[in-house]
Amino acid sequence: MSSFTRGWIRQRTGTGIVDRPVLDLLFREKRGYNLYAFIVDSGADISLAPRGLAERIGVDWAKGKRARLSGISPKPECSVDGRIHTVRTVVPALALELKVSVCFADGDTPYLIGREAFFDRFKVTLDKPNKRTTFTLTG
Amino acid sequence: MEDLARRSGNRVSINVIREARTREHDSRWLGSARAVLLRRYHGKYVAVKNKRIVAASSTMRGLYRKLDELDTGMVLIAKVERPVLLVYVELY
Repeated sequence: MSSFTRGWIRQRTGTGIVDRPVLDLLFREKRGYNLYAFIVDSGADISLAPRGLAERIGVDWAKGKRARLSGISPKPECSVDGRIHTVRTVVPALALELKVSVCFADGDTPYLIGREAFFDRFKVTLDKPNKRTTFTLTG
Repeated sequence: MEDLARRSGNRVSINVIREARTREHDSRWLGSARAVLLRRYHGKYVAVKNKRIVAASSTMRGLYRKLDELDTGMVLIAKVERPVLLVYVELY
């Protein structure tokens, strides 16, 4: 069984210090590759990234399944348009290529890795006392 | 590593994987960087290479434009969040 461990990142907020679980994912772009730091969000149904990444990796954003993103406010003007696509990425720690479903938002959103597809491939153990995450490949 | 690379269909070369693992050090560096260093980047997307922020922008398009001009090769891209707590969004 293949697994790896990744430490959390630390950030100061208005209410104190928070540590967030992250995972670096590699994407093939039109010109080479870049690595992206995603926050691991086990509460998110699906992964999230800005529209710019979709365009950079050659995805036709408009052809995806349409979605609207909203936060606490129900006001329509506070929502953002998004498109859901299945894209290929690589987990460098395991040299593993996999497909993940990502909602590419038409705005400057954070990079979040949610449960759909990714959590089917990995058992994810969030170890807050030690501020680290263990990713164990399933199957 | 090579077994796993083969499992993935050899779509990504071992050299690319090695470089990505080097860039993961930049991710760790960014995660432990001092608050005073990151303050000016709050809310921005940043590109990091060799423990140095080589480009930053408030939009991804702006960051990509800078990276294309600099021709940096592989970088780590991250969003430096504003000093707020992250909660959740709905999709519908």
